[in-house]
Amino acid sequence: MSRRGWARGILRRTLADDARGRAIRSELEREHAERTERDGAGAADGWLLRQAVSVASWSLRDRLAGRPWGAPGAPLGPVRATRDALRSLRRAPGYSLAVILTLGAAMAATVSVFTVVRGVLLRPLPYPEPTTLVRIDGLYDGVPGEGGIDYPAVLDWREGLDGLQGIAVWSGAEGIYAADGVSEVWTGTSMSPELLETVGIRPALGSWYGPGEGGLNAMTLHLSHDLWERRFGADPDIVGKTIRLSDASWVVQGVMPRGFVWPDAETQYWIPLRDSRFLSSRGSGFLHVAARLTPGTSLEAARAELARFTEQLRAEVGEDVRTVALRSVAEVERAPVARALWTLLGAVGLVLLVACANVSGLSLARTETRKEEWSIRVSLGAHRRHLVAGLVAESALLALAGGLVGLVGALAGVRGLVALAPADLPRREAVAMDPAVVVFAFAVSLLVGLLAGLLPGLRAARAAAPGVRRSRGRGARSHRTHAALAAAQIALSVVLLMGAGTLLRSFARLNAVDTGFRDPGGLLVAEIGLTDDRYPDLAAILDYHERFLQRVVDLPGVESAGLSSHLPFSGSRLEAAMVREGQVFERGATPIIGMEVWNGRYRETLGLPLLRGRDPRRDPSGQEAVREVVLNESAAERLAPGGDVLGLRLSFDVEPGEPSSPESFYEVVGVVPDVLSGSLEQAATPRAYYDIQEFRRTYGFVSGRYFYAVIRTRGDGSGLAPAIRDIARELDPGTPVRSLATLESLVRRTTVPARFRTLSLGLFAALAVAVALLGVYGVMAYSVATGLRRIGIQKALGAPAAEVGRRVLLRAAAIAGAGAASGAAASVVLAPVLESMLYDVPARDPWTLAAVLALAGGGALAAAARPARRAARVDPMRILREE
Amino acid sequence: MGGRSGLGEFEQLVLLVVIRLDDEAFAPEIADALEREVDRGVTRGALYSTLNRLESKGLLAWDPERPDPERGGHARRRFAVTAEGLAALRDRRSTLLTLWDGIEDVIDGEAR
Repeated sequence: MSRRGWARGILRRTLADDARGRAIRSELEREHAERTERDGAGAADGWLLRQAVSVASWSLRDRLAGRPWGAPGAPLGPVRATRDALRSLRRAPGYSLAVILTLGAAMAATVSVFTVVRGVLLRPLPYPEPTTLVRIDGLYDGVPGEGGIDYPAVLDWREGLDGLQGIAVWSGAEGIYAADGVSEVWTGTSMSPELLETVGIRPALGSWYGPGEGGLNAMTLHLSHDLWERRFGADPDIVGKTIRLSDASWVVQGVMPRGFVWPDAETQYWIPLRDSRFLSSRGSGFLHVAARLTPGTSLEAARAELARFTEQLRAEVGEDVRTVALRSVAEVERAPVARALWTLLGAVGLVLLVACANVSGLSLARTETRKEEWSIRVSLGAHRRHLVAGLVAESALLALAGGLVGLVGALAGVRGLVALAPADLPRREAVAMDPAVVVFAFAVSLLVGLLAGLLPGLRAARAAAPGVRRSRGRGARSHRTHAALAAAQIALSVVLLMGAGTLLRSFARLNAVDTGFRDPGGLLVAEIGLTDDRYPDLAAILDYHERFLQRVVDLPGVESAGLSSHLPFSGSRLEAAMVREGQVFERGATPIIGMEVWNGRYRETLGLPLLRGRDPRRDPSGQEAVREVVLNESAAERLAPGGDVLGLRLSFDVEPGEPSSPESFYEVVGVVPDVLSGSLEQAATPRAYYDIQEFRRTYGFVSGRYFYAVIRTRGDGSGLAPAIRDIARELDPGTPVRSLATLESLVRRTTVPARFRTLSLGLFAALAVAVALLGVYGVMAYSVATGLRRIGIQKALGAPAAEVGRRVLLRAAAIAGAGAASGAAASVVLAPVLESMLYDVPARDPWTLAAVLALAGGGALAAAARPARRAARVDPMRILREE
Repeated sequence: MGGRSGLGEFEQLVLLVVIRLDDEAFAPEIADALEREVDRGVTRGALYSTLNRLESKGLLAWDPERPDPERGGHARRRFAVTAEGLAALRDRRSTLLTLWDGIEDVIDGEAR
């Protein structure tokens, strides 16, 4: 054996196979190689043998002294790993910041939406056994609406249904509270006595209704916690006291606990159901119904029983028996927002995936630059376990930091989402960041961080081998992975952009819809409630109207004013079947027309021109009956398709198969344009407009006690609101004005859900695009930075600068093209998700797709511009010299 | 052995040499410097024994240096004195200076 062989044998036996042992061997070998070159092999071999012997003797001495060599410091515990990871991340601030911010932004979006989804859709409702609490609603065109149930049906159900118990009803109520100098309208609920018990919430003070209590018309009430505090100073002895409300006396039966919001958050008091002639008539459905499933009955079973029962009843009673839908309360409450919220959660899921791909790309690049370092560390004895532990620590640190940034961002994000959300977002109060949300945030960010940060590193760490790994041109495979990750980001962003884009177009279309009103920003709308007690007859009502209109028109800045039985831009509250003279009523064939009653210069104030004819007249003496009506275009078209409607005589006093009485006919004297009623998405409905004096004299009633004043102002009308309130207070303190707003704001309010969807999805799409473009930039910059030598050679071989830059741009375009194509394909597949949220725009809108693709392509090229410039400016001589 | 840190004389010399060599503090250079500056021959066995001991005490640390393919791809370690190592040296110096204080004349006189 040669001396060198001896030396190596000694060293192998002496030195442990650990970090220190391998390092010493490596250093001796290196010096041996140098000495071989300098002094020749013989001298070097002799030197190596001498050193090997000295190492053997010294290590033996140290071991005997209790200081063995093979103890390379403390094992890599979590504390040490964390400290090392921190140090290593501090050395790469750009990488760390990019990962933390990308993760943080995506987490902020995810946590915000998750918090809202959890509060609104996932938390159990705040009632005992919420799954057995159900509601029954009428079906409108096959779709369940709110309420629409008649009382006789409820009485039948109580008798005949086994699967439901505690069947309770309610409807809206309003009361005017005028005492101690305040005059305000309270929104309330009139209910059958078992409602509170069915819902299952006990009053905080006082009691539920016992057997025989709270029957029809009983003069007792429950107060909401909020009203009790606000108006009665949280008087602990309020139960049994008397309150004056709408000129009647009510005994307080109880105070409901804080947070009790049945049927909605607006309700401030609950009174027993009022008897009226509508209550006993079948088919006049205005009630809401809640009930409990009897123990052991499933929702499906109850549904089937109710359907059977309805069929049976219809066979006995006739067509007036309405088809109804039985749904869980959770479904009813969440239905209006569930789809939008789940879609948003899906959208932030995509944002998270984009962030994931981005972080993967970043850590892949970092891994490439660290392979060398790892090879050294492995060759110096570092165990791969240590490399992996370090990677885990780094990824976890970044993920936790990203999660923290996300949580802080989500604090603002949740507030923003809730502020942006429609007013009828249910369970708004349950939307809150709590420990579960925090756990969710860190769990998701750890998962994302470890998956995206660790996997690329893990593969490299496993492959790290001792020895040289002088990587100049990185592997083609890693370049391909980079490009694929960037393309994936583009694809996901295109899906999001496509969704946001179609929503945006739909929203723009919605806002461009012509409501038919002239300049709704200059129209003030106020609601005036006249009670039957104070205004028992037409004369009293007309007198109030006249005084009110006179005072309002005298205000500076007011051009004209009028009154209507209907709030402009709202659905009709009164509709009737209308027959022409000579026709008889036929169910299904006779058109149903909405009816509205006007007073003062209402038509002119709204800005509706007379298309044909004139306004209805009014007999100044009040003696002679003038029966004239004005129709809107839709009604004219329904009643006299294609023909002239003027002079036509109409009656809504109809009985099936019988001619209407001759004195019930009104003559059509004019036609006005359609205006939309309550929704920008639905076409105008047919309407007939009557003069209040003539209408009321014929029929003895005006639909409801409430009137809506419209006031045309010069410029923005909202500044006049206080003056109008003052006028109402001076005229009659018992008749407060409420809900004063411009017509424009009423119209805009109906677009809030669309605005919420559009804005939030748009924000997430923008976030995804920003991250994805950063990803493209990163890939291109990295590819140029690592390919400098190749680029230098190309240029040295005569490639012009423009060509080199163009190649970089082409590569970016290829990545963007591949991503955009798969994104477009995915959007086409996913399009139906948005279908129901769009107005007048197809879910697979080619224009939006074209715009999105142009944006993605342009964005990717812009992101690649800087790397391309850098490549074009590469100085081949300098690069080659450095080599 | 002396001082709080239990710093031996040879250990002290190694630490000082490592500081002086700065970026060039590899094992062969440390050995060369010790031989040159202090005129003291040192085998790799003795050197590694001391380096290991200093590392275990936390007075010395090392970073791997990128392997040079022309040297057969063998890696080597660059040593550096830790903050604790510097503190130990400072300690040692102040002890010595205190002891030297006032006896320079005696020492110098004898030498003259």
